[in-house]
Amino acid sequence: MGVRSARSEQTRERILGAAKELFAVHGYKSVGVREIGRRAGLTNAALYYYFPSKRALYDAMLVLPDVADLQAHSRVAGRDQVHEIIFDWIDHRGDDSEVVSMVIAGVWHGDPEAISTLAQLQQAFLGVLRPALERHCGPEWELVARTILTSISGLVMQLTVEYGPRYIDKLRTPAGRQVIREILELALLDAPSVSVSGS
Amino acid sequence: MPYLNGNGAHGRSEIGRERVLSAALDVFNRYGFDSATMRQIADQLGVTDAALYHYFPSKRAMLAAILDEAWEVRLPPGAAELPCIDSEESLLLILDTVLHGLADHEEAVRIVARQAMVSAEALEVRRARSARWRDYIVAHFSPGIGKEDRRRIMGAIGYFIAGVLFVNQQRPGGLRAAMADPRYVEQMHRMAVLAIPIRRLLEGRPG
Repeated sequence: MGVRSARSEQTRERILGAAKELFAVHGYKSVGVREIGRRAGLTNAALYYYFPSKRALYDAMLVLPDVADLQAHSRVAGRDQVHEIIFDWIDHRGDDSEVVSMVIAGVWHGDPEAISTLAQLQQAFLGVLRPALERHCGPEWELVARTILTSISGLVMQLTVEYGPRYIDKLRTPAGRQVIREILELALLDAPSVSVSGS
Repeated sequence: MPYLNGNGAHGRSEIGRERVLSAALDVFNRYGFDSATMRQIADQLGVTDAALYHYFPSKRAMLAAILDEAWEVRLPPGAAELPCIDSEESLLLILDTVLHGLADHEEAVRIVARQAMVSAEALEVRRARSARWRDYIVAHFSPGIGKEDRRRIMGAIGYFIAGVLFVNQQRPGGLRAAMADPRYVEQMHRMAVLAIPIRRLLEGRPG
């Protein structure tokens, strides 16, 4: 009895994998269900059995980061904390790289789904940085967080245009880490500071 | 010398470079850069492909020209050249100039980004153009800035500009609408001086 469900789970994963690969470079809007089926080696009817719509596929692959989980790391105030949170994200959220690439491709295509997902991702990012930055910078935390968000979005966008979902491998190299470190160091160099505990 | 193609349709002077590029963009967008042909672009304009070759030797050259125009710097009024980057004011002036240039060609920038994600050739063109643009900005650094700091500042400027362009794609009207909104521009300036702390970098970094 388990055989059948294991196989159907495999098929489901195969469909999701095919969809991710296609969405990651073409965006959501311009990929057809038929193309996904072809790549997964399934007929349209078989594919619809697993996912009733393209939107259902998109929703299934979209798992947004758990803000509370990431925030749990940021107990101590200070600059190091900001670095730690970002590297934690890069090291442990890498499975999302196809989703991120899909969102970036989709935004360049003007897909409304991708645009609203980008907004959610950004809110998650701001939420994760908030406790550490609020303690370090006070009421100006949001400006600092948005500055970091802007530069890191620019970096990730450029890498994704070049490498697609493999951008994450580039970020994890020593050179990639160095770039992130510099972005954070520069952004925090002149950031308002309310406490001495972080420095 | 005036040029007329075989069937006496549009000559070179009648098409116009601008129209060629806009037709090329349209075709790249519709069929993808890799599968687009010079013939399709010519058809779009209602001319022979021979007429197109008078403007550009290849579709690759067209994409390069599109990017050149997108990156073209619209100088601030009264300035013959961009200022040297040696202060917050000059940094912000350069950022505004580049961002306005991108906003003026936003649709082209979007299409090129999309094509670069699916076409190795389009990506190469995009890469070469970004490198040129980087060199251009680096050439505007104050001579007092050392090599290592130039690299750091350039990195910070590049990621910040790319980020401002990208993040504003969520906004209805995109970067163009953002740059037309004085409140946004003010906020962007406050972020810029944090992202690129030029004064601190010029003073030498504290140990």
